[in-house]
Amino acid sequence: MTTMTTLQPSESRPSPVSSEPAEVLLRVEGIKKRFGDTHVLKGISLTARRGDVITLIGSSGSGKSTFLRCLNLLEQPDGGELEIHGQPVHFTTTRHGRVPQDEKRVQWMRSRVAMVFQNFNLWSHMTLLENIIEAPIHVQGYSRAEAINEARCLLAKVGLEERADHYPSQLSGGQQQRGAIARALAMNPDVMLFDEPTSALDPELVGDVLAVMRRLAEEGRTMVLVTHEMDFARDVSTRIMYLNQGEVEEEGPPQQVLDTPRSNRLRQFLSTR
Amino acid sequence: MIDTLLEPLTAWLAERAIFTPDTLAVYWQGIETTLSLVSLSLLMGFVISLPLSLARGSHYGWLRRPVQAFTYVFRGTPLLVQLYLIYYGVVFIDDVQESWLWPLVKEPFLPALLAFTLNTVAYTTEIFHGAIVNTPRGELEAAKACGMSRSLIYRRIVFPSAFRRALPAYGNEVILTLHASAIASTVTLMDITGAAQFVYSRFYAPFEAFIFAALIYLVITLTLLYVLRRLEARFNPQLRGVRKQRRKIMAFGNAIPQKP
Amino acid sequence: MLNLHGYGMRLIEGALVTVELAALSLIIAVLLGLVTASAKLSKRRLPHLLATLYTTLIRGVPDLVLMMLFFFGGQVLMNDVSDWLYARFGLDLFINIDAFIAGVLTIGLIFGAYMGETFRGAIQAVDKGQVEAATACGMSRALIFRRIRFPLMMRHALPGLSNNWLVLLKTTALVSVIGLSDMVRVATQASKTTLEPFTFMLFVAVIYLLLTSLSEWVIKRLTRKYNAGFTRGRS
Repeated sequence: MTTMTTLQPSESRPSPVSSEPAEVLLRVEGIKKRFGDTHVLKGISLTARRGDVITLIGSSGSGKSTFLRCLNLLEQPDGGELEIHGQPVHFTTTRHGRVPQDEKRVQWMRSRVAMVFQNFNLWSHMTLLENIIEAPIHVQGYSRAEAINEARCLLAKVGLEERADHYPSQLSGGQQQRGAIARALAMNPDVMLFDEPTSALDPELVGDVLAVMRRLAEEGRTMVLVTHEMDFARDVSTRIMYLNQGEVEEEGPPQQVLDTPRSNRLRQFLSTR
Repeated sequence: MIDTLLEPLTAWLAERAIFTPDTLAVYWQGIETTLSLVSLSLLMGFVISLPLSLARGSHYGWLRRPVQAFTYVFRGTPLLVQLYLIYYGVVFIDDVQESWLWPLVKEPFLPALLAFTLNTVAYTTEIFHGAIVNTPRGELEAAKACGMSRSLIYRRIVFPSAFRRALPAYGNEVILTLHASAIASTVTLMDITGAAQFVYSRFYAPFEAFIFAALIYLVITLTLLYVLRRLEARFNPQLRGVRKQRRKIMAFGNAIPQKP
Repeated sequence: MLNLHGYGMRLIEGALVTVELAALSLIIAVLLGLVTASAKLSKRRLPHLLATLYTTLIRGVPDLVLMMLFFFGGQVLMNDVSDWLYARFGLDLFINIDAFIAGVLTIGLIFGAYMGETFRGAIQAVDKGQVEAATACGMSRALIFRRIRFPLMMRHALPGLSNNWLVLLKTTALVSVIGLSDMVRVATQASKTTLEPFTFMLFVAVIYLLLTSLSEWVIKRLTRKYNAGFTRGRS
């Protein structure tokens, strides 16, 4: 369950300050996205180093979800650069617009950047266990036995070891979301993306999911998340980005952004929470 | 009391003696004909519909439109007309009477098989296409986000889940094809209905002849339904709980197919 | 050019027979369907049992077999009745079953079963809350049925109803087999005398295609009209 006491994030996680800066896992520069005439993203940059937990906040329509989806190319950005582990993704312009040059490269990149969705999106024709071992076996080439072993550990970690053989339709929303987190973890990704992971849940189920995410942050997982849970964001984030109308309006450590906001809009946004 | 009631009945039956070994053999042959016609056309229909349903949803117009036109025409006209077109029309194909095909198409079996296959392909293609299109978007995105390739997504996510979604509608199509096959008797094929017509004209006993045929169809239908139910339960285990509850509430009759 | 060898007029007449047959059968089917649906949803056992038996038997047997049973069987029954009348009362009456009426009754009876299922589903789909809201407004049972239940039910029934109509329209082709002069029968006869089956069968196929396309167009308009404020979730 969520603890409401403020945890000092720098105490509970490996501190990047002491030694040289941690390795850069994901870097995007000047991401632009347009839907028709609407400029949803007007050039956003982000650098995630190992252990970073970056939270994107902003009102609906600010482009935060679109930006997150650009990070693993579920949306194709119209402009900007993208690098994972120092490996750039090259784009080329065809008559369908700007698309990645090499589909294989994109698939590899996506297997390094896992995503947890607002609506869980577990595959409904597979049991929870089958959902978790699917990508390790068929994308990463692990043996079935290895994948199952790993999956059982992950299920224990998210508190669902009893539910391995259940189908998604037999699970509560909170259980489905924790299962989806286990599915994302199974790929042992460099970066995990969370797209409003608790927005579709009943209030009483939110706590369990946040607890799992908190543990991941404490383990030093690199995460980028979109959320409306401000207390949670304050507790676990290393950095918070406030997006407004497709631009980063304010950015910095959580205390600075949330407690001493500089812009009026952010102040207004925070006061309505 | 009962004897006096039964007496005229037994007398009446004895007088007619419709269900002799001879007529039963006619019905048995009818069953064989119906079953082979239906199973062959369903089998071929299934195989042909798989690629067609993909073409039906293709981004390329040259691939999609012909399939669309085909299903539109074959679903928009009566099977009887299609059967007549093929059966009576095949004679008029140039030189067909001299070709090696003639001995095959002269008999009604192959033209009927062709008509039924084309017809069931049209419906099955739309069923499969609908199931593929209705794959939940989020599940596709999740697959993409895991780094799956297009072909892997189709193989592991789209097809298995589409098959499960298509199963009830496809089962319906199986039973409707069985029922539609009764039309084969109109082109002199001795299927179950053909056998009934034969017995009717021989004995002028419409009730016995057609009710017996109806019972045979009913038994085959219920058997098929049972098998389809088992298949559905096997492939949709997540629905098992729901289904059992539903079955308790409704009588079994509701399972019988709706027309597509 | 299309040469119909003078059968053009008869084909058009046949097409009219097809349309009339389909329309009249639809009316019977809808009425029977409503009765069946309410019987199926009835709490009393006998109506429920009878309705279930009716829909199961009809939907478990091919249309053509039912049609032959009713048509040929009906003729025999009528002959027996007239024999009996003659023997008993000396009435010399030959009752001939009119193929058109027999066709309408048979198709109506068959599709009544399918309509029954459609309506049963639609009635069950009506949101109980809306009926409760009407009760809370002090509406009488009859008023609730007329103003709330029925309109809502029809909206749920429309897709199934349309579907049944399209199938019914194509099923009318079967009456040619039992001797009714619909357009399929005219075309068959014309094919046999002129030896040009392609011409006539394709002509008939095109007319059916026109009829089904027209129906689909009308259904689309109707659906749009009746589904105002009744869309399925977000786009």
